[in-house]
Amino acid sequence: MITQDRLIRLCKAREQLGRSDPSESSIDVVAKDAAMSRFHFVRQFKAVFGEAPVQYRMRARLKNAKQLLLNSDQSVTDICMAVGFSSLGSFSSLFTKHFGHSPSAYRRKFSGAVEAHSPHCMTLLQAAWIQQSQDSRSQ
Amino acid sequence: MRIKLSGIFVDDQQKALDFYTEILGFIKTQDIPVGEFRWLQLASPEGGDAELTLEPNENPAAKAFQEALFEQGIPITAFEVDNLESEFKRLSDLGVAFTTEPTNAGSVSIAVFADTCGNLIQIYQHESE
Repeated sequence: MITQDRLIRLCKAREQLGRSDPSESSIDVVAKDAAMSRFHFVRQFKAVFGEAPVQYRMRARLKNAKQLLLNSDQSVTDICMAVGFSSLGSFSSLFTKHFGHSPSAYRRKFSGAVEAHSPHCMTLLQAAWIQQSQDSRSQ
Repeated sequence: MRIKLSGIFVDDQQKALDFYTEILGFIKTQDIPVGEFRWLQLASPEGGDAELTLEPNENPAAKAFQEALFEQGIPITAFEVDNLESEFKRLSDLGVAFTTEPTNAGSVSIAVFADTCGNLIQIYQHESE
């Protein structure tokens, strides 16, 4: 059972892990801030959020990078550093694995695309119907 | 006019699809790529007309709404079950984290769990009369 108090502490830890901060806290520090042992923190974080704290932080960094690619004109290298990666190579490789495009290709493809900036059910549903209609016509 | 679709926001569509199909047991009925996202629609194998959509919480307003409800311990939606105790045990055995154990709440019994995608989900069983 996760008590309400513990849920709130886990939410604060998630927020801490999701920040774009190159001088990020170690998992031990985040666990301590959440008033849990590292073991219990990792176990409960995973049970509640579906991934280990390290994985969550990696995904959050990639999402932050994606937003900067779409909404700023910073270079890919600057974005890589700004979200907490120290190696451009590993950033590009992880980004490509996660989003299916390299950071530069992603920026070219999705800058200006409504569904990438602020997708919501109606934009997705409309796009899905159009896609379905195109698929059925091509069959 | 009919209620056919109900959507919830999720922090990662693939993670959500895995949880809702492999752990909860729903069936995927639509999976249409939309840019980098997907239109994901699920149905219950036990029937019912309504289907559930798993929508990305990329929109900052959606993310803020989802996180606020979660932190306040408020479920985003509720699913009906035939046997709350057995569903609670089944999900607990699969590692699902509950914030509320089966509890009588008048004409229904309820339990609440985290869906691993940023939501709390309530399950409920009508008490037999």
